Amino acid sequence: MSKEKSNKYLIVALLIGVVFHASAIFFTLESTYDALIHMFFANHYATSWFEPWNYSWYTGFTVMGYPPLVHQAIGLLSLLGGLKFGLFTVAIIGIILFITGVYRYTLMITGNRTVAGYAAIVAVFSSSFVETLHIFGQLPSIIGVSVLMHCMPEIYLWIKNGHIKNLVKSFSLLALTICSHHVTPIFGMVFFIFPLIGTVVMDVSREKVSSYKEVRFKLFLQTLFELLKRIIVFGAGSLFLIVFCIFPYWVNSKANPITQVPIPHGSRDNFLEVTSSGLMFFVIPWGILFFILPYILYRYYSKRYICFGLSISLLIVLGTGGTTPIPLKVLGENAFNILTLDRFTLWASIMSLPMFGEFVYRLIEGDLKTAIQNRFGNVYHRILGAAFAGTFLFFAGFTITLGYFRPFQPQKINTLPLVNFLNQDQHDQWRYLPLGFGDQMATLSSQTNAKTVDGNYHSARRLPELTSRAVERLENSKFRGMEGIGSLQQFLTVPEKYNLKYVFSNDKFYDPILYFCGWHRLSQLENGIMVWEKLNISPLPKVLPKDEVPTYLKLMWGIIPILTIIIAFVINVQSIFFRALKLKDETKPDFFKFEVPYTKFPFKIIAVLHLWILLLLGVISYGIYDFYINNATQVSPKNVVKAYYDALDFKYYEKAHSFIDPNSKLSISQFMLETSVADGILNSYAKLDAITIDIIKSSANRSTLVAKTKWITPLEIIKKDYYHEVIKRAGKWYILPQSVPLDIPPDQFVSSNLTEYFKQGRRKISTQTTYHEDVLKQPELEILSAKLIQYNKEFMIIGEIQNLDNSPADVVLKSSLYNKYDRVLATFNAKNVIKHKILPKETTSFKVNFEEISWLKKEVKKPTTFNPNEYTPKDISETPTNFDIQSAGNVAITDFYNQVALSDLIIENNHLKGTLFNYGIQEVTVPELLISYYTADKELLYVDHHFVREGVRVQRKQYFDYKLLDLSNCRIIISSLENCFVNGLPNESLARTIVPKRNKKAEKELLQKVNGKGFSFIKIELNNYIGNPK
Amino acid sequence: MIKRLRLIIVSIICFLLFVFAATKTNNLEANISLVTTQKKFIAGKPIALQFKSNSTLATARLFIIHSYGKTILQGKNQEGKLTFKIPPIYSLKTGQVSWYLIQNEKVTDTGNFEVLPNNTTPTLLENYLGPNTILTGKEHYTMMVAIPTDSYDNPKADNTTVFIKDQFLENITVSTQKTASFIAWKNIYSRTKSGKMLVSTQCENTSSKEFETELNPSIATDFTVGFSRNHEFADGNQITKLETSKIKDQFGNLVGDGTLVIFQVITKNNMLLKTFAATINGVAIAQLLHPDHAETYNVKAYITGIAESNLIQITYKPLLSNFTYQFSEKNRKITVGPLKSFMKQIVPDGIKTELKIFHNGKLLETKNVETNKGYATFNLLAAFYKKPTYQFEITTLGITKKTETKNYEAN
Repeated sequence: MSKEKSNKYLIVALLIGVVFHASAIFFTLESTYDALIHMFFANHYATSWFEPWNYSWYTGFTVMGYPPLVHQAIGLLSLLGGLKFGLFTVAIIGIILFITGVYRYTLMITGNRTVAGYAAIVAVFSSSFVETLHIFGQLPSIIGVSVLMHCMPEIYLWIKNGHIKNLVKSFSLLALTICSHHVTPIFGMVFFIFPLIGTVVMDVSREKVSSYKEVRFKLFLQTLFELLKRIIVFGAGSLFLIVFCIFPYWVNSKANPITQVPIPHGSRDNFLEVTSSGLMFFVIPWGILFFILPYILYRYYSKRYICFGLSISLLIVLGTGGTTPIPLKVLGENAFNILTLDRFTLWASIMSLPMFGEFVYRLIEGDLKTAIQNRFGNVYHRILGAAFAGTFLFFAGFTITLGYFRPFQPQKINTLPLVNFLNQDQHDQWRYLPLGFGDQMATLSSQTNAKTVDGNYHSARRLPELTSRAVERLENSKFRGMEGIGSLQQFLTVPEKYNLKYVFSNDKFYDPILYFCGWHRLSQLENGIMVWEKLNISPLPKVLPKDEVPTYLKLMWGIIPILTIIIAFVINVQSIFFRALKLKDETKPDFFKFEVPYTKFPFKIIAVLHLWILLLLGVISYGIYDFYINNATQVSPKNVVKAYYDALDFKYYEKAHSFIDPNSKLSISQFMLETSVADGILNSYAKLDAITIDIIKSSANRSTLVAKTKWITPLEIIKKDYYHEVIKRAGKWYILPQSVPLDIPPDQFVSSNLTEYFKQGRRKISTQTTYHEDVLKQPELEILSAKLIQYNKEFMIIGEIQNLDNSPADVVLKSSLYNKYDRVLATFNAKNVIKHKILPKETTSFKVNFEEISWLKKEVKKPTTFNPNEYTPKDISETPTNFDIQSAGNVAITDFYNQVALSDLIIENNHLKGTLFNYGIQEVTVPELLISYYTADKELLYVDHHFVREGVRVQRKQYFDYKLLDLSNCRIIISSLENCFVNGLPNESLARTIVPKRNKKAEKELLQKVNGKGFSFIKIELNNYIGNPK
Repeated sequence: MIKRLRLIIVSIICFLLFVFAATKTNNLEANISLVTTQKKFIAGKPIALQFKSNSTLATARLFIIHSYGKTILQGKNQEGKLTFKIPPIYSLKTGQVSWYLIQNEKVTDTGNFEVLPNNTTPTLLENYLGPNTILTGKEHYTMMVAIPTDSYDNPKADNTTVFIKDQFLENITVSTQKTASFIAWKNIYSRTKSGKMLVSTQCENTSSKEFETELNPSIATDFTVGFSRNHEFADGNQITKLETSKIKDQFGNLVGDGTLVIFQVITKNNMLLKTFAATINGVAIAQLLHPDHAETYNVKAYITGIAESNLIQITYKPLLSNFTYQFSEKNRKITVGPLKSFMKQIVPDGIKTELKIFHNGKLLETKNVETNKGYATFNLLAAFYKKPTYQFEITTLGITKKTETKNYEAN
């Protein structure tokens, strides 16, 4: 036997692959979805190898929820050169494994070294691989499937020849796959190994007869029984490996079943409806492969590969997600909602690679080339080849640069200031919450000891507040609509439950909700991230709870995965060396016998391929046309209005201005002034969620439209209708500009005096806990009234509280409901119906809701309740018979802007219409009205709130319109100050030492008479949020 | 040889006898009694309890119970004297110590002694003052607690003298307090003036550091309110300043900066308007926009539940007594104006003008626009206003005019 030459195609593939991907990952990997999570896990292993419990996320979770091999490998390498070194090294190993894996897999399938070489080259640029690595960053998945491909020839040889050597090799590689990624071997068994077994049986049957045609079902079955012993040995062995290698994982799955409600994933969408998901999870992974799909199916449906044919068909269908109902039916509701279906497409595309390699070989130097040249001539072949190669490279290039053109992540955050902040002054004694960080939150977690309530591996969640929500992370909750915001609000309202004291906000969007939940800005760090703080939060206890697991599981988890690498290396290193260095002649493996001669490419297939490509091109052209018609900005009245709002939503003012009627002579600077001067919840903090545009009236050149918009703001969903007139000029539609407010502020130059405050904190520079004399006295508050009411079947606590002290106070107010056996039914804090920061002698009304907020119910499709653990539906049926209020004052120093006057008020048709006038020098971004309702006896009955949608600029007016409530079914159940406590002390007795005798008569003079339904008086208070304090 | 052997045997016998005797005597409960008569020891000095025994061999153990803990000490018999050294961690701390002599697991003797504070070491003072802010007045006080100790942190014996001193303005008060149950304390009553009070303590030669407590003003008393403005016309575009007198507590101290004052305005129509201001140096100044129609404001200021002001009246004169309006563009454009002010100048831009649209006497819609250069313009788009006739009511600057019914052609 002559010495085999090195496969130059494989060498080329490896060289190009390593250079191309290894240089690209430095720009892509860190902004992928998953890579940073793997780095965080790696950091865990690097710091505590045998301890599976991690306190950093979700109030503690176990890392036994994900196979550890890749993380441990990165962790080990990080000891050499840091976490990123580990990450990139493992990624490069993954690239090499993938290319060589495809080579070996193709070699087994086709038995042709040239074809395998071609397959290795096309694998380098295959768009599914590029996407998985450079967009998703799924390293364990890549390594898992690559090792599985290495494993398959060994499985083939074991079943065919029964050499123990092959069995041992295949087991060693399979163990490696299992430890890298659990889903790959389980589904790999079904989709890769079963068809492989089928192919072996087919090959063995073929050897008994002279051609595949003669292989009949009976013979196939007969052969299957002959080989059954080997198959069973392999099957039993691999089952054992799957259970044994990641045994702690299975134990953990049993102990902590995933209680997470399904989180929407793009791969489960209907790709025709959600085209962005279609692009990400279908078009990109298939890429060029989809154009030659008929060839791939034709080849896989030939008799030898029939099992692979069935497998790939199933994979293709499962990969279509929610586009067809089949995946849901095949997988069942449960698996469908847990699995991300894009992996099926990934596997299908990987399975196609051998046939793709074969096709390319035949197109470039094989029988397809001859067939085309003979039929259509040389030129056509060249054009076709060029177009094919061009499209192929375009897909790869498009995929790798997608993250550059459409960033998936917020801009890279310099975490050093955050790490320093957490280390400083014992800030890491509390939990923190990053907002708007994207997957970079994992980077922060891996750099600090401080803990967060959020996390980035949602299967590991344990808090019911999180598992009951289809919210990926609190950090990006705005993308999950009201459900996300609702979940976030809960954490911000009751932060003491989680020892959550600091919020790092990288997204201004969340600022209003933080303010209205009683948080205040601390400082802006040098990386531009705003730190928000909440007072009255106790630090984390010294000992945190954790789930203990037996030592043997910890040892298995720490030892087995790395052991599998060592064993696999020892077993396989010899043959790798022999093969690579050609030291020894190796007998050709059996699958070389089944090489297909590429002699005559069937013309039928060429025809089918042409038709298929034409069809695809037709569909694509139609799609592009449709896209153009829907998105071309000025072709119709609707489009121009829609484009206008899109531009405004993304703050592309120049673009928005281009849609304004040019004849109106509205300059861009004037337009910018008019659209951006007005601050407010709608202008500064809203995200356009939905827009429907209806034509009210139209003629050939002029139309009137209404844009019904729905905006998600951090506080509530706002629906607003805007009326527009559009006009057609020179074939293009334009919007006529709207009138601008003409109000002129009274003064050109304004001065203002305000009392400002400062807290020293520790007066001595020392790390010691605060000295006794530096502790500020808690401001004295008085709860003036407290009532348990029932309104619309919901129990609430309302009342009024005053700051009696001489220092301003931050008010935290917590209330509990009790049944007649004094058992707690519910506990919650006052959220946004209270003024959290009050000046000396200032009063505020408050309301504590124990259940969801009404607007949430209306907007969310499936009713989700605010369901903190201690409040279950069962308790609602019980009538509370008592309540208590625990309020705490702490010295506050900011957010007391009171210079807004209620300068006009009309009550008509059950509406409260008024004018706010800002006489100070700060622009009020979101004014909140607290409207207290009183009975005829001037007794507090209810407290409501209303966010004014527009801000109030300095020395300007803002109008509001509030619909008064119907309180005829609101009743006071208990009105008592008996169980009210301030700073842990009884309310009344303390207050009387400061205010011996209250002037109750004067208090009642402050109420506005109204002829309302169920009430007779109201009181209006203002809570002003300043978005950009100057 | 035999001699030597005999000698060896004899010495062995002697040794055995001795051993037996020793064992025998040890087994006997030797009579051990306390020698040390001292019942009181000074902390920091070594403490040893000495016992004598009728046996030179007997040993015993001493179990001691101290407020600081319990331990067992092993005695050493030196020629009939047993000495137990109390370990320093116990001898440094004051308190009662009980001891139990144990022989052969039996308590044969008990007793106790006391460790007293060491007055020869430098005195240390531990102090607490709280609360660190109090209100002015006779009933509020802050409490100074002093705990004098010796160098080993043992509280001094009761009746140790501690001087508690406080300074407020020109007055320095020194009072003498005796410790009782280790502490000396004093309630330092507030004064009628607000300010900062410094407090310190002294015991023997040791002085404390300076402690401070703020005397904050008490709650406000009633006050008066005044106003100032540019002119008396209701142009909707000037500011009236409302200013309180200096708000003081009952002792004449200015109330704390930042005290919130609510200014309530009652309009002619009994609507309650509000503006807010926090005090600086006792004065709160709030601002109010002039109304845009003739109006009389009754203003009163409140510190909720605590104090209130007198009631004042502010009258605003109307800016104009009449205005004109025109219909144009097939009655679809209504122009109100020119609106001229008290010196015949054009009114400032942004005057709210309201148009009520009626059809057959029924109110359909209310439109609001703001004036521009003295004019307010309403456009009734044919697409929205399809009725054949409309009648209007125009209100601006507090004056309402009703138009005649206008006819409209369908578009």
